[in-house]
Formats: sequence, structure tokens, C-alpha cells
Amino acid sequence: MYDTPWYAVVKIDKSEVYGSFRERAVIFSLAGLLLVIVLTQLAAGYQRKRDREWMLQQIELEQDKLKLQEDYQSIARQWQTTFDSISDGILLLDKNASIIRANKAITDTTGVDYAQIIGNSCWKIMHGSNKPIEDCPLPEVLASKKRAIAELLMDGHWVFLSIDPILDEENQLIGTVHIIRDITSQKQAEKALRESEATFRELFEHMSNGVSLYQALEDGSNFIIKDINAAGESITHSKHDSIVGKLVTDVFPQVIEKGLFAQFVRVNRTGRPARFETFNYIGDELEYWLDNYVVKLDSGEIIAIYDDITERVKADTANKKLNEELEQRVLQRTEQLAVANKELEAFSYSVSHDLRSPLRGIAGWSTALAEDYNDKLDEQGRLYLERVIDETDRMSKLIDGLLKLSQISKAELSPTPVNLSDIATQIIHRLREEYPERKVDTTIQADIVVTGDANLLEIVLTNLIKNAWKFSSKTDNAVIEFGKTFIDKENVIYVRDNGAGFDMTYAAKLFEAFQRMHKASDFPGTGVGLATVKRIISRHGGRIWVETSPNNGATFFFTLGMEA
Amino acid sequence: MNKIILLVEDNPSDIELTKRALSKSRIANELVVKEDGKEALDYVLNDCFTIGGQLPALILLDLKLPKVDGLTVLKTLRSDDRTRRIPIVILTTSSEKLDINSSYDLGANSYIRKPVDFNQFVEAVNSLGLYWLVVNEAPPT
Repeated sequence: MYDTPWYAVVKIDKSEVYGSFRERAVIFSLAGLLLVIVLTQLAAGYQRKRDREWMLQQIELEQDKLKLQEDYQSIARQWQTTFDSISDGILLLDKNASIIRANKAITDTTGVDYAQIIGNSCWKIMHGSNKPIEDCPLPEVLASKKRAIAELLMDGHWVFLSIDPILDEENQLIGTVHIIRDITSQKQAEKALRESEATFRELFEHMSNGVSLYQALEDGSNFIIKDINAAGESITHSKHDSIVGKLVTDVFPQVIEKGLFAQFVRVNRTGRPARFETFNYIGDELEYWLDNYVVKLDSGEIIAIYDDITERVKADTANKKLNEELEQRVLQRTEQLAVANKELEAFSYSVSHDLRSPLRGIAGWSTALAEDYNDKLDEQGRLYLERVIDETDRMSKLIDGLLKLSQISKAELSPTPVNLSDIATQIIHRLREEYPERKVDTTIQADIVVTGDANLLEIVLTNLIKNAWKFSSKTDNAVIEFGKTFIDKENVIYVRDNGAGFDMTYAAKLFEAFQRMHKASDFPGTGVGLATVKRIISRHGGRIWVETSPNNGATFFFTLGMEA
Repeated sequence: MNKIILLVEDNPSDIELTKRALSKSRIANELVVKEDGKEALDYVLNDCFTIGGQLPALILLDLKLPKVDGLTVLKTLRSDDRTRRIPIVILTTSSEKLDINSSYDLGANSYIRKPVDFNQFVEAVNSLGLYWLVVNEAPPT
């Protein structure tokens, strides 16, 4: 009680209270009034406090609501952006197939404003039609409430379409989600791949090379046949369908013996390609000969490319055999030729001995007759005997010419530099001595040096110059010329005269033995001189020819293959 | 003493012509004729030492002979000490280089190719006789 102020108020002196009732009543009234005021004040303060708290609560609520709104907007923006940034077209349809949402890919690809899209039917916007197109899986989804997909061709574009149903809690369909993906480039790539594959498959099948494809087992111990082309089938005498999927050693056991298998293993291990040949003989007969090329592909598969070169090898072998036979034949011929040469030598020997002997007898006894029986013969008889002796002389010269010809054929050539001008000068000198009565102008080009056999070349010049001398013997102002000229990039040596010449019509056999262009009574001769000349030129690898016409002289040209 | 000339020749016509050529050249030496190589060797290596005892002063030897050929005759005579100095003249029709070379290699003193012309032959025989029978100083026997 002492704690309350009210204690002090009542602690008034009793005399005073009874002193004045009015005073007391006033005091009581004042006190009561004061109490009421105080209590009223207290209650009002409490009410004010509660009002303030409610206000604060209201503000907080308002703030939460604002934040929720912000969050919602942010999330909505996030999803809208995501929705729009997906490159596939996305459409949300209500259960009546009216579009309620579409992403940017849709507006981009259709070119239709968003506002126009919303509320429209899917087929109107996407296909411009009044009802779902034939291949559209939407009716199916509506009926089954299950996802459906389809590939559709739209405006020249291939699209992949998926439709998913949106279901409520009671499993009632309230809409659908359509996702449209443009797969045109993928389709094109697939098409290109298919075409490329078809091309290569065709190539594979039509190649003349056999091709087999193998897959190595995991441990590389064997190979499974994966494919073989037509040429491969034909070369290996196998059928694609009966060998594919099998082990190579099961189908072709001979690959081990022929070394092919070892090559497969090596190529598979090292990755380095190998080229080699395999073959088989049955007895002497070649069964097959293959040229093989084995490569490991990037895919890890082993590819074997092989050519059947059996026929080629057979042809080569036949060729080789033929060549050997030819060589053998050449050897035989050479041998026969050597024998023939020997016979020719024997013949020449025989000619020189056996033919000359009786000739000498005829000449000798004719001379004896002319000497010992001169007085018994008349003029005519003596003339006849003279003829006999002359003829034997001619025969003797013929035999000598023939012998010389045969000797040239077998003589060894010993080529040295030869000064033909010097030789020609000497020959002319001797002819002038022998026939001092002849007046012949001679021109000899100086220093014509060639490479050849000096003795044989002297025989050539002797024959040609003597011919020129002889055939110009009936010509006034006879001229003989010896020189060198240049015809068709070749050095050509010539001997020219202005004598009788001859008709080229009959010149074909000019360089053959015993061929003569003139009657013996005009110009005597044996007919072996030019044959000898030609043989010598030939042995030097050169050629000889003549330019002439009757009464216009003749020019003999020759080349020497050995010429430096 | 009359020096003997040995003629080894199988052709009768040639024998006669040679005789004629010798007589025309006034070579009057005794002429012995053997018609094959074997007879010639028998004569020189046997008969000359047994019967007559006189070796020929000159041998005119043909190359192509029956039985034993001229080169063998030459070789045999040259390899026998008793006969290796006898002048031997090859008188033949062959003009083969091989024959000429072989003859000289085997020691022939001369090689004469019989000319077809008889007058030339006479000349050849003449100079032959002159040289080998008159000019040449024979080796001491």
C-alpha cells in the first residue's frame, strides 16, 4: 500500500473530512474526475500503440506483395527469354488447338506478328489451312494424350515435330506443346551421305580390283570378313553372302601359308600399308598371281585391294620363254652362220688353189704351144691362142677379185685416223705413171681425214678412182674430182668424173658382184670392184650411192659410220 | 757336183710347166719330183741319207698336197737338225694371208704365188733359181 500514490491522498486528517462536507464532496469529485481522466489517458495510449503495429504489418505485407510481383516478373522474363532463345519453334496450344503461346522462332519462321498468332489455330498459322494437315499427329495426341512425333515437309523445309500433351491433376488434357525443329540441312546431309555412299558402293562393286574389308578381332589374332566386292568374289571364287561375318582363316585357310595373314597382322599392328604379291602353281601351271595392297583405315578396319595379274604373269612368262627361244635361235643361227663363213673360207681357199691351177695349165700350155709350134700355126691360129691366153688372164683377175671380196668380209677392222686426200693423191700419181698418155685434170680436196681401216679404205678409193679414170678414158678434157661435202647433216665423201656415166635405170644391182654397166669391148672389167667397195663401206657402217646419167659422168658418194 | 732341186707338187700339169720354166731359165740341175707330202718327207729324211746321201740344195714346196700338207712338211723339215737349213721356197697358188704368214713363221725362205701367166712364172722361177742356186751361199753341210 505504501507503493501507491493513492495512499497519500487518503491519509488526510479525519477532522478535516468531517470539517466540511462540501469541501469533501468537491475534493471527491475532483479526485474522481482526475481518476477518470487518468484511466482514459491510459486506454487511449494502448489503442494508439495497437494501431501503429497494425500499420506496420500492413506495410510489410505490401512490401512482400511487391517483392513477389518482382520475382514473378523476373522469372517470367527469364522463361520468356529462354523460350524465345530456343532455335526450335515452340507452340503452346489450349485444348481446342488455339495458340496460347509461341516463341520467337515461330514468329521468325512464319513472319506472322505475335498478336496475330495468339488465338489462331496451329494449322492456320503453320500450314495456312483450315484443318490439321494429313500427316499432323495432333489428333492422335488429343485422342491418346500421349506424345507423338512426325517428320513433315513444310514450304520446302523438312521439320521434326513433337507434340506433348499438357494434363491437369485429373489427367484431363488442357493443352499441347508443339516443338518444331528444322532438319532440312540434316536431311540434306543425310541425302548427300546416302548418295555418296551409293556412289562409293557402286564404285566398290564395279572396280576391276578385288576389294575385301576386314575387322580385326579385339586382340588382333584374326580378322572377320566384313565386305567383298564383285571383282573380289570373282578373284577369290567366293560368294559375298557366304563369307561375310566369318573369320578369314576359316574361309581362306591358304592365307596363312601364302603369307597374306602375316601381312594383315603386321598392317593391323603397325598401321603401315603393305604391297606384295602372292601366287600359286599347280605343277608347272600358274593357278593365280595376285598383286596385293593392304591398308589399315582410320576406322581401324583392314582393307585389301588385289589385282589378278595371272594373265599378265603368264604373258610375261611366255614372253620370256619366247625371248629365250629367240636367243637360242639367234645363237643357233650365229653358229650356222659361223659354219657358213667357214665353208665360204674353205670355198675361197679352194677357189684360190683349185680354180687357178687348171687356169694356169691352160695359160701355160697355150704359151708353150705358141712358142714351140709358132711356125706351124698361121696368123689366125696364133690369134686364137692369144685369145685363150687373154681369157685365162681375165678369169684369173675375176678369181682374184672374188677372193678379195671374201677376204674383206672376214677381215678385222682396225680403225685409225686415215687421210683420204693423201691416199687419193698417191692413187692418181700411180695412174699417171701407168698411163702417161692420158691427160686428166684432177682436183683433190686437201686433208679429208676420217676414222676407218686404212687398208680397206685404200681399196675403196683405188676402185672408185680407177673407175673414174677408166670411164673417162674416152672423154676429151677428162676431169676427176675428189672431195667432201655436207648432205643432210652428214659428211659425205665423193669421187666425180665427167666420163661415160650410165643409165640409172640399170643401177639397182650396181653394187652387186659381177654386175656391169658397160660392154667389155667398151670398158673391160670384172664387176667385183664396186661390190668390194660397198662391202667395205658397209663394214664401216656407212652407205654408198651414185648419181649419173649417160655421157654426163658419174659421182659416187659415200659416208662412213665410223667417221669422227 | 750337181745340186738337186726337189719339187713337191701333185699337179702333173704344174710339174711339167715348172720343168719347162726351169729349162727355159737354163737351170739344168737335177729335178726330183715328189707328188705328196709323205713321199717328200720319206725322200728327204730317209732316202737322202741312205741311198744317194745328198740333200736337195733347194726345195720347191706346194702347200696343198695329198696325205701330208705342205705346211706340215715344212714344219717337219725345219724341226730336224739335219734338214733345217735347206732353203725351202713355197711355190703355191694360194694368196691366203694365213698361208703366207704360217709359211714364214715355220721358216720358209721365200713365198711365191704362182702367176697364171706363164711368162711371169718363168720370170719368177728364173730369179728364184738365180738367187738360191747361184747367188746364195749355201750353209756348210
